Amino acid sequence: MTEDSHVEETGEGEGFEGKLSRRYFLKFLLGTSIILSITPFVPMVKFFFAKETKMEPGRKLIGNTKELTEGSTKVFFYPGEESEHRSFLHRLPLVQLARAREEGRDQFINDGFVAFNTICPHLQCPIELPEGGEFICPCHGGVLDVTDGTVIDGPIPRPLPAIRLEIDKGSGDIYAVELFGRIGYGRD
Amino acid sequence: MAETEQETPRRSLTDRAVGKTRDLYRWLDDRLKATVFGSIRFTLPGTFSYVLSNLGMATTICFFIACATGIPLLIYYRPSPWNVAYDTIKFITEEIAFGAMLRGVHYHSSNAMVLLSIIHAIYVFFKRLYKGRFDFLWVTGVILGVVTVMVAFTGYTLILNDRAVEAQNIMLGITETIHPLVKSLMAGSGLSDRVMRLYAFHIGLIPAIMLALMAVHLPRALRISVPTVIGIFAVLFIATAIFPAELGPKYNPAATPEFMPPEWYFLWIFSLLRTWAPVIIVAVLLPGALIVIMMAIPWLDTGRRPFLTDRPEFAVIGMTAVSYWLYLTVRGVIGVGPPAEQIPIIEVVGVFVATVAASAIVFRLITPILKSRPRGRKKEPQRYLDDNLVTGILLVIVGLQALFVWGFTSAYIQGNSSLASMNIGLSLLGLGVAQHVYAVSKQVPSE
Repeated sequence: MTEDSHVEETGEGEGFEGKLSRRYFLKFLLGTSIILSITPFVPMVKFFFAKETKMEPGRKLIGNTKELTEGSTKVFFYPGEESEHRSFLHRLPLVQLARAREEGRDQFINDGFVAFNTICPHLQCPIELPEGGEFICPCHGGVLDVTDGTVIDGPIPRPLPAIRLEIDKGSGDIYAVELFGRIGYGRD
Repeated sequence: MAETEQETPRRSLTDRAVGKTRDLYRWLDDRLKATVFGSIRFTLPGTFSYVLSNLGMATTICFFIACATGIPLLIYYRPSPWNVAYDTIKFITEEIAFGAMLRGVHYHSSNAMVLLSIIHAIYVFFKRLYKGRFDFLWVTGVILGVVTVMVAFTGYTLILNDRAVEAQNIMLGITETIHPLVKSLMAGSGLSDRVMRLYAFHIGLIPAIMLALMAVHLPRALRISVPTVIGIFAVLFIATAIFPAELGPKYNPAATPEFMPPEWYFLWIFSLLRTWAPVIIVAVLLPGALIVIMMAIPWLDTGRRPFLTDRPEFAVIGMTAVSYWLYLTVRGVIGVGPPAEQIPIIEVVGVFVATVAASAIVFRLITPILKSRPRGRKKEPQRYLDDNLVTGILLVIVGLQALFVWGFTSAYIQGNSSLASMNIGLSLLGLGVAQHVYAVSKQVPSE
């Protein structure tokens, strides 16, 4: 026992001076063994990370031009059916439409219709129905423009994700075809 | 407590039965001392025990009450998206016997747990009980406090009413702000995964972590004051009677949920978010920094003497922290709209500066009073109660309890959950007072 402790001391002190003590080497081996045994368990943390559901933003029928009057709004879900996919289809009043055209902010407007995802990019609260050309987030008071989803006021760091629309001229059916931007993504 | 005072030579049947019961009690008591109960002392303090020094114990009791009321709720609750989970809670509240009461006590025990742990931390801070070997207990206590808030939070997101989904949304936003991986870990993908995840955290993972932390936080020798435990039960039942656990409107994914401010322990962050400052600073970095600073307090405070007046800067920091936290909490519910109004950042900063100044001035003013108080342990005054008086009080209490039990029965038959709960609470309060009075009477020196 005394010999052991003596060896241990020399092992700590002069282990690398050419003469590696047997005790020190055994401890090193034991330590390596412990680390190697633990290693396979480390990636098991991955178990706790959710599997992202792949969303293919396909073409989805969301409404008809005849069911929406000027200034009215319809709720639909795109691209999936999850709560964060809640979106608005809005038909702009003519005055607003004319102003947006004048100012050149009509990149998302198709025949007077716009569609946006409605999850606030600040902290993912669902925003309220458009009123007077504005979206309002009830949680922290952010305000967004209904014509192009840009921020008017408040803590919202980036515009709302817009949805590209296609309208069948014959039947008047409206299809959502593409989502611009990431839902609820407020990081810079 | 079932002990007889003196032996009689002529042993009747009752006497022998009492004797046997006493033997059994003593045997059990002796054998239990070999278990973990050997380190717990159940006491009936003869004086009004100093409530503030019992807060840690009270918090622990609330944790076990939350477990005891939460486990039966598992039988009926189903963690699925809104149309199932909400309906099972509605079913528990409206259809199941004592369901509303159980939910109420569960809800209030979680709130009490958070509140008591906050007051416990404030008390320990101002008494500077974190010094010496207790620095480790302080650190585990801070972590335990954070985890306590997490268990309470995951609990109220499971109801899947408007408020719960709103809380989940904010959680999505904040975790996304930290990193998408954190969001994936804490919030999952999609509502059904999220609900299941929060459920697993709430009933399994976090309570297990809490038990592990309690193992390294509770002191070696536990003293449990029995009347206090009964008192906590009574308060929880009375709170349930006055403020039943809310059900709220069912979440409808197609409609914008009705906006409500968060639970009271998050109002301070809510206030700061309403200044429109960046989320990463207000909701992530600031709380994180505060937690780290709190954990470092035992090493920041290098003073050796245990008195508050010797470390005025720590007293001022503590007073500022508490009063500023109260300000932010109250400010959170003022002007919430919807939409919630902006809080000018100048107001938040201005009030902070004013709070620091006011705390410094107040501490300066009360320093002479604190210094004039005798330092060291006070001798607890002996209290005596006349035997006849004690008998009278106990008789009155037992009579009142009989009344409350009758009141409970009739309220239950009528289906009035709140009234039934109130009667249970008052009856338990009677038991607590009875135990206390009994303990005081035992202090009379025997002639």
